[in-house]
Amino acid sequence: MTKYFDFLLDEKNAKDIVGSIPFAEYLDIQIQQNINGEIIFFLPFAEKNIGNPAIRALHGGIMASFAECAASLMIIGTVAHDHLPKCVNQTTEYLSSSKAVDTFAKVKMNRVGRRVIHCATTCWQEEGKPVVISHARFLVGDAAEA
Amino acid sequence: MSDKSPSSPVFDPEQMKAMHKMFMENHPGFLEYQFEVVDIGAGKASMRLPYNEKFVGDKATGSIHGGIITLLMDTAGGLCSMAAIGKMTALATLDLRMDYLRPTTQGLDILAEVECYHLSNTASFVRGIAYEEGEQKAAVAHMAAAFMLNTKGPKLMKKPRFSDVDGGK
Repeated sequence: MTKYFDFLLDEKNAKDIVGSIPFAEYLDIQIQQNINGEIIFFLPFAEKNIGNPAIRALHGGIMASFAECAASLMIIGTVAHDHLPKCVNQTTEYLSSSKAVDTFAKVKMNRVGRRVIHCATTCWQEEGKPVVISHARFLVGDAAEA
Repeated sequence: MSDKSPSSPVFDPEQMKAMHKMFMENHPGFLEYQFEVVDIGAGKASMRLPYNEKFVGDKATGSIHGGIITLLMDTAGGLCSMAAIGKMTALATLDLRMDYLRPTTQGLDILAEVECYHLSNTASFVRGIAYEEGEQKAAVAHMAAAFMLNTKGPKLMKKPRFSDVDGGK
């Protein structure tokens, strides 16, 4: 797995990977590494991401988008270098309201098959308390093109 | 449809107009993503996302990223829950499921049609379909979500307390 992580953590590769999805670029998602050497995704706070102006909470749709983009980027960076994975479906659980601060995400690929990849993405904010958990299924390889 | 679908008496056109205006003017999402409210009815809402190159998910085909459709559906779901209650209230998404039926076509706007199929005191259940507005109205995604009602936030809706009801005893 280290080999793949090196690929993802290379600054140029990371930029290319994020650049392959214009929407991820628009959200300004960045790829980072935590102290345990794991890949984490970073969504900097932006005013446009506010969904509830009254309590200044991030938009639920933005959190779901971030989780989906993070999972896609993780797949592109690790197993599908040459093509975009195709999201089949995604379920998002909102554990608590997301504050108007930076958000991080970690992707766990529960199963990596030849055609389908099951991903679980956990998003958290400043205190490390998870705010969103998302499960998504992606088609890769031949299945993504069909 | 459902036996407990929200009934029309709570539907107040004036409130709906105010809700429409509030959403169009104050919501950062509406300004940034150019969402348009097409229609608000009793327990129903439809919203449009104009095609924008910023939201592309696949450069090769120019199809919109699923995330922005989720964003549209979440917003439409919230609006539709408010329409079902008939009042503006603070709410929070509990859970949201998206099924991406097919990739969208380059250059076509997305129309979200969402309905609230069950409403309880504390939660609303919504479902909806996103269409692309080409020559044929083709479904591109399906959504099912649950919203928690009357969450933290400014008191948009006054809730009577027991002390108010029984004369402060």
